[in-house]
Amino acid sequence: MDVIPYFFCLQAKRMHRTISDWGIYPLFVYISLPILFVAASVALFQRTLHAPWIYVGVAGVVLLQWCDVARQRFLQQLFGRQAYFCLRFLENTVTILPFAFFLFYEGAVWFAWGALVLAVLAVFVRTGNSGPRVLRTPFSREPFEFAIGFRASIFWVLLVYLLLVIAIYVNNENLSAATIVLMVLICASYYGRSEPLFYAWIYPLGPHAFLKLKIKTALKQVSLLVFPMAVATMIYFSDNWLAILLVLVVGCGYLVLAVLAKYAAFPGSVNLPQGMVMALSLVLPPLLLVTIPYFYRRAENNILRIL
Amino acid sequence: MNVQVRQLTKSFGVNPVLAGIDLDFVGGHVYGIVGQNGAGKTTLFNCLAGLEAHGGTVTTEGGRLKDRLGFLQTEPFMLSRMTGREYLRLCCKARGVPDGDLDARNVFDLPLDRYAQQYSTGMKKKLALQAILLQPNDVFILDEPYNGVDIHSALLITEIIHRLRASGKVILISSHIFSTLKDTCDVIHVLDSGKMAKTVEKADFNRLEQAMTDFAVGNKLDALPLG
Repeated sequence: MDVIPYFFCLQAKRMHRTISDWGIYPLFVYISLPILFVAASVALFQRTLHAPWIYVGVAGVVLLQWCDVARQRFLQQLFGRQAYFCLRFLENTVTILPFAFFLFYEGAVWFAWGALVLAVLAVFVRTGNSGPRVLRTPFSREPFEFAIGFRASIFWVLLVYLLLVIAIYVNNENLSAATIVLMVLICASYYGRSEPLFYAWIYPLGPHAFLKLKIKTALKQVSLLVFPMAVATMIYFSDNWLAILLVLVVGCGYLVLAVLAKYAAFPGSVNLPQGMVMALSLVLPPLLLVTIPYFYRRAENNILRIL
Repeated sequence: MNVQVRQLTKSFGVNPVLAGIDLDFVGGHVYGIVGQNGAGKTTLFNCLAGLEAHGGTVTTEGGRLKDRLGFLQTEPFMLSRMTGREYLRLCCKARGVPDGDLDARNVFDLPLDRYAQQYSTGMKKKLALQAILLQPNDVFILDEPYNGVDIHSALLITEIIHRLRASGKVILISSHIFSTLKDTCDVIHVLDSGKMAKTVEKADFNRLEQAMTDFAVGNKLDALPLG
């Protein structure tokens, strides 16, 4: 069974390397993450009575990170049956423990036990098994981020549409505007990972033309998802059409930023400082006027080496 | 369509991988590149394609090589949740080629509406080859085109190479199966430790094969009880 301690040591090493790749000191994360976790938990429990439900929900989403079918197949190939289940149980328990401890501390005992049961049940959950069935999308004619991103995020897309329906039903215009932002964020996540170099290399274009094509495609395709939402929102909350329009413009700006940030870091991934700049641009939209040209210049210089 | 490579060098850190490669490629010819694992074949191809920064020059008549190059990589990477049809469309659109009627041009009978990532190794290879054949390329780099493909497809690939040569294209192939090189190549370059060790014309292919067999086998098998 000494393979299991080795496996966890290896995961710790990988995590350490990943944090270093983000461009920050791992020690900083190891110290600040527990503090942030406790602060966020306290804030959540102070704000709402439904906090235990939300908390267990968040814990469940975190557990899903280990449920990817490819990862599970890999582990099953590597380990025997007993070691595999032991390992899956341990990693789920380790993940859920901070949540469970805090729930115990808050006196939500049943929720704490519920979270631990969730950890056991998640051992048998598999996600990301696309199987042989292909999900048809309206994006297949254009390459390629939206077609594959849409398939990967179909659950979230449907959830956002459902939220919009609820927002209209309960007459909450803020929530409906938030769903538009959420949809744009989902679409922006399609540009969160770089494709292999080859997929950019095949274009016989200069950096400007390449980036223009990518941005044009992104805006064209996001409109397919967001336009019906915007129209519905403007019809039901016609007094605030200008605010909705503003949300749309900012959303498009943010999507452009996501495309440019991807190619500024290409073929690597957006690092933490860049990610923070992006997050700041979302919170303070006027910043987009600075960050879009900044990332454009970086993307143009970076992609020049490949094109 | 001619390609000239002069003093091409490439290092990874302090380790030189390619050391001053000089090559000339002329339209209507098929060139084989052979060498042991790690000899630098794939790095050479990546440098020619412009996927790796390198020293030296790669000169092509009438513009950049990369814009008229069809590059079949050793292990074509297929993104998850992308169908074969979408991959072909991507490669067509990238080069401004019409992407209609893909079924009629699906010479390898691939299941284009399935996710390409779920294809077998050989099917991925055939999809990537199909994609570069749809583009108007003048130069083809085929890195291990026969890897994992079935016997019928291998025969089809050989015929495709013959037809590309007949239409005046430049074709570079690497393969670990000597018979496929004998069937298709006009010249074979032997790459050894990052240097061009030998250039062999068609008339001498048998002698090269014998020399390679002698080197590869030698008396290594005497240690095994193979009878």
